[in-house]
Amino acid sequence: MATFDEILRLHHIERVELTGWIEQRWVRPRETAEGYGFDEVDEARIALICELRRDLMVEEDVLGLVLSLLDQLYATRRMLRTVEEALETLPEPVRAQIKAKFRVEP
Amino acid sequence: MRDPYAVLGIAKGADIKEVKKAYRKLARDLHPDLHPGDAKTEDRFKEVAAAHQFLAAAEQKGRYDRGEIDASGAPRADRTFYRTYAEGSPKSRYSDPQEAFSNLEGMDVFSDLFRGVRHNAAWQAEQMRRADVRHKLEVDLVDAANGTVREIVLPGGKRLKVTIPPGSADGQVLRLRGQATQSGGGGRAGDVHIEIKVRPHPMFTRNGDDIHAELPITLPEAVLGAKIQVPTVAGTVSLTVPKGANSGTRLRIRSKGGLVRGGRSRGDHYVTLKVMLPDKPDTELADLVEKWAARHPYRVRGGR
Repeated sequence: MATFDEILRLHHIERVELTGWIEQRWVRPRETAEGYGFDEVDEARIALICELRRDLMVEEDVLGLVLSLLDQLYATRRMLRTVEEALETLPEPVRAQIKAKFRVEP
Repeated sequence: MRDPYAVLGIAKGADIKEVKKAYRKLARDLHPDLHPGDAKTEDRFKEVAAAHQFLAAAEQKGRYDRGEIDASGAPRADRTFYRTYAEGSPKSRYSDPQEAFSNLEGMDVFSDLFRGVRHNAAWQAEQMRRADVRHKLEVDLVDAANGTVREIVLPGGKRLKVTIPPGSADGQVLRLRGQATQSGGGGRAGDVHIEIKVRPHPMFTRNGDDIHAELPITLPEAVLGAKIQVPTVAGTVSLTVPKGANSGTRLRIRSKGGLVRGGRSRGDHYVTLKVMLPDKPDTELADLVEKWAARHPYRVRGGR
């Protein structure tokens, strides 16, 4: 698990930036007795935020919106996966019937 | 590696602005985290990112060699994209049950499936009101520019050391998580919000990371030029006033302004010269100027 200062160094972020991201709850590190602890998920998310900010030039206030939409997209995908797993347990004729619903007619 | 310009789809030797523009456009289309359903984008994105990094690094080398930037930035190691984690456990800290499911709940088929997920204990705890404390902290302009540490006393008597980061702006709010003393009604300790108020300085004004100041100089210093000591937020530095300097001339002292956020480098210090005559009128000077003016008339207002 990485510490606050390690994250600043590794991702070349300013202290105020990361503090702001945590305040906005865009990044949600664990809070330990020694301060924040960042695991791989947090780091991957920080890398994504850095790229949105620096490379894709997403403005700070729009960034919140983008992240919120992404979170919703991922939650929805997770949910669909659950639905997919549930479908697998159904008898074949029922599955075929449901799959037919999703088929796009040319 | 393939020709990085070809990877980015631009002409060989295109300048860095074009490189960045091309990369930005491709990244928008290819970033794996923005296209979770598309397995193909990852390799292509990595190639594009590497091409961009290569060209940006070459540009940086040039700028570093020319002394335009300092050394920072190292190539990033191989990485795992956020999307790999994002679809993992439904109890992930980044899932937002309420928002994500609200628009799907209208569908009858799904309502049974998704009921229950909304009552996530961790999420509910987060919603509990915490007792946050607000505090105003006045700092000197020089301290705000350089960063400092202050001790504050909270209403309950708790003492807190507060680090004011370099480059702090007036009105900026620092948040210290969980530092407010626990309020009676359970729940977790609240946050301390500290609003920074930057006191105006008698000499310096701030413009971002740059500091501006007026610099009075004597008539001889203006006419003959001089090397003088100038106070800046980065300490006293010596400045060469060029021969014939005038009131209103602005000189720049590079990297002697306020620290930029993060404290790695400094902005610039600007002085605007102001030529000052001696306090009391001087007859010798008056005689001298009278003689000089008779031979060297010049105009400073209106036409020629």
